[in-house]
Amino acid sequence: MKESVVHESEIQKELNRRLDIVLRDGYQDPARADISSWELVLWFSFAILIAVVTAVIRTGV
Amino acid sequence: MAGTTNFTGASSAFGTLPVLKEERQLGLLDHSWVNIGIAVATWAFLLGGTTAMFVGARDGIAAIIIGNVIGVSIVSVSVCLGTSKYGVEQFTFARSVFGRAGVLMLVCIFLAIYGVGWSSVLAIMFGRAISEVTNSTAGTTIGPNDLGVTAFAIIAIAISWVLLWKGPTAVKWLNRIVGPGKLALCAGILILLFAEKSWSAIAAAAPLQPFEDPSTNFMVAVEINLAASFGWWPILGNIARFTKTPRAALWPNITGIFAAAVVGEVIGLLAALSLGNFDPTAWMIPLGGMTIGVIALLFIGLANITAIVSIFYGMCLAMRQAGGRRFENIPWGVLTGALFIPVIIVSFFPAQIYDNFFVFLAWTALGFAPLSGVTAVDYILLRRGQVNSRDLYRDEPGTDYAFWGGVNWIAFVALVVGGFVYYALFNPLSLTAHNALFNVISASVPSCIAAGLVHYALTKSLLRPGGRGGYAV
Repeated sequence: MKESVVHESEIQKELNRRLDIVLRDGYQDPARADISSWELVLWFSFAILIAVVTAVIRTGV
Repeated sequence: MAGTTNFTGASSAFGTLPVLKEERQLGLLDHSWVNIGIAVATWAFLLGGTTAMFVGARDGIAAIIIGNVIGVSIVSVSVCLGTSKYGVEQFTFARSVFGRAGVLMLVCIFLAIYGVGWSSVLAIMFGRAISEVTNSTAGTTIGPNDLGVTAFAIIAIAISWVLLWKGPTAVKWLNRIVGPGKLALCAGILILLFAEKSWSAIAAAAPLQPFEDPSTNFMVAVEINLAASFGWWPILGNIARFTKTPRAALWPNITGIFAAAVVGEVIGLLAALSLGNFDPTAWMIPLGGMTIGVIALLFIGLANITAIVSIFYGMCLAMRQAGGRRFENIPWGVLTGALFIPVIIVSFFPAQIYDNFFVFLAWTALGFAPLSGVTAVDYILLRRGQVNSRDLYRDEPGTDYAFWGGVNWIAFVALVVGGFVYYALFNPLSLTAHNALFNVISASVPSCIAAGLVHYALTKSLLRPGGRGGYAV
């Protein structure tokens, strides 16, 4: 029981340490950039294009 | 800024803690290889074989491409962007949509069924593959539904458990070897297939067990592939979490998941049509002869293990996160081992599970298609990509994701509506259309859209004005 309390306390400490780091002003991590709207549009356009071209080829147009 | 966070759900090495920059391991290429490793699993052959039950080669290839590209593009946006940006485990992240207790409900309902079901199918396939090997090399006479298959399935589960114990790094390195190897296996099957039969002969082969109406057959084939691709929902976010950029989180789902799944499924489709059997474990020796067939079967076994590990990694993290302190204090090895027990039990019923796997697949789509719609709309449209990292880990009332007693009932209403839309169009048990519209629009896509729309409308009208959920006003 005592061990688990210690373990939990260590995890909370580590969680808070990590949150403090990632929420710090000026924290630099390229992954935390937002994906641009145009890239999302490109993503779905590309997917739709693949589906439509496939459907067209299937119907033999 | 610092503050303290009362937290129920983290763990140490393999936990739900936010990933720091230096811990992100996956660029575009690595993420692609990891995705290839899990997508060219033998379930892809099985899925291609199942597609062959309803349509021939030409329609089958089209159904596989259309089903996969639509499903993967939606699922990737719904789970990869948020988990990658915040470095947070997927089911911790899902607290922003469903609430803390809501995620626990989600895990217990969806994930347990999904993880156990899929892992059982893969373990049984491992069992059948290795049985074929021993039948051919050691003179055993293990039938496809014998206890010997179950025994080998349990061995697969045990190996998966050990690998799971080693964590994501072990999976990454294993996939660097197995991923390219599986592509070689695909190429080998394709070469052997076309060495025996011409394209025109395979293209002329009739579907194995079609319905009467060709257009229904085509849409059932698309629906099965949509179901498979929406089924990536519980897996992809926890891989994308380790990516280095948003671009590396998104595009490898096309170059990895979509492309590799299509390749694997098309090969499965052609092999099934050519050999007249949907089961990949029955193809290898007739196709490659004793030596090549045995090697291929052994490799299939290894490939299945990587897939089981990937499924279970996500499931165990989710259980740990959702289960709070009680689960948190269970050692990782014990937790993963305990969750394999239902898989072992189910493995005693190979005929019921493996030979009806497409029914199971269709049922999972009834859950995962709406789930994808709700999570995509929530993160992209309602939150505009902004989530309160600290409150994802807080359980107290009054925090952003407390909702109503820890459950966002609005998201669940949206899921139920999506499920009804699915069932109104398609019966996942009999694989028959409930509505003529099914032949035009499928069931998964409208179900996904309906759930997303309901979640958007109810959140805008009920949640946001009341200040719950941390949605920007």
